[in-house]
Amino acid sequence: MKRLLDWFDERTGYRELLRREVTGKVAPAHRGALTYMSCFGGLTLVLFVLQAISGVFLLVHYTPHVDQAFESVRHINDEVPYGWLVRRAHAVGGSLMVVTVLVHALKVFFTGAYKPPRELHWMTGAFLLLMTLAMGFSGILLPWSQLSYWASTVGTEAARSAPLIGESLVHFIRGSEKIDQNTLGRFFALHVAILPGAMALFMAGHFFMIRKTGIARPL
Amino acid sequence: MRHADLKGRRRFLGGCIGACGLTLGGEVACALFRYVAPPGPGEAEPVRVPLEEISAGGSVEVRYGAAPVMIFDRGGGEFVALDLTCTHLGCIVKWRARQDLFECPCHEGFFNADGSVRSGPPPLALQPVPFRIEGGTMVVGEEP
Repeated sequence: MKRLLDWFDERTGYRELLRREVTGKVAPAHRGALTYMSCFGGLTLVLFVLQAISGVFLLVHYTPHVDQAFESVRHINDEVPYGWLVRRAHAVGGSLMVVTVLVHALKVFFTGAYKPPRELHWMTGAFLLLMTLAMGFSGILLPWSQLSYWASTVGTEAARSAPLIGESLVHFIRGSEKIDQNTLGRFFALHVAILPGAMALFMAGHFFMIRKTGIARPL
Repeated sequence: MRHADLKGRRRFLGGCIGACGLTLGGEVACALFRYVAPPGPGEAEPVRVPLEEISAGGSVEVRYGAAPVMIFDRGGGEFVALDLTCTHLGCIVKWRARQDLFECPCHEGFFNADGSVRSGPPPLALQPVPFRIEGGTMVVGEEP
């Protein structure tokens, strides 16, 4: 094992990289910089990873079609071993993630940690918040239950009050006049591919900026 | 060749490549937009309902295009057709015969039997659907 890792290190230099970027990195020393309130960004990342893992496992058995979606979710919940656990974890994890993102954002807001030179942290973070909410909104339709259908009806209908473009906006979001297979198809694509990919990109930017500036000094 | 000429030529060629890229990118973007854009709302076909079918139960529910429509026989040859889509946020209202009103299950909007708002958040009355009587048949909706 040691020889294998040596071989790997000779070619990539990963030990030096780890020492410099991970193990050699110390927490900021100034008093009061780190409190329990500082952990919500990290918690959100942990939840995102858990959501990605449980989401991929759900994908194994889920069918994004109006005739089979509900049945496939019931199958996951009732028949697949530990399916109830994966599904519950994914649903509860999603709700928790909204909470941790909001607490994180409020903490940053009230401690003024978004001020220069940390504006980009805030901007990428704002998009991440919106995308987290969009994940919840697109995810709730996928089980195709009564709750799914009417929550999505009401949620998309709200866009109709946008001036001028309201009508066509609702139509475009739904992909048809009422919620149907077209809506399920595009919400599925958003939920499992487009949004997670975009979130990963924005998170990379978010973390790069934090590494660059370090975390903010306490008040 | 002089240095200044070279610079000008490079800028010109760069502009050409940029313009090509923009054109191709624009075409791809248009194609992808067409791919995800929904088809225009299809013309809703009028629905034909025999009058005795409505009179038998006092009311009948039909689907006109994407909208659920309820037709009532008010007696004396008077009929009413209402779009059951709630005017608040688009849920489908339910007819409560015993209370003589429509109830929206989403946010507790209530409508009177004639479609006007009784209480709750709906901003407008249930929308009437145009119809005409042809002999013994009601034709709900308009010819496309």
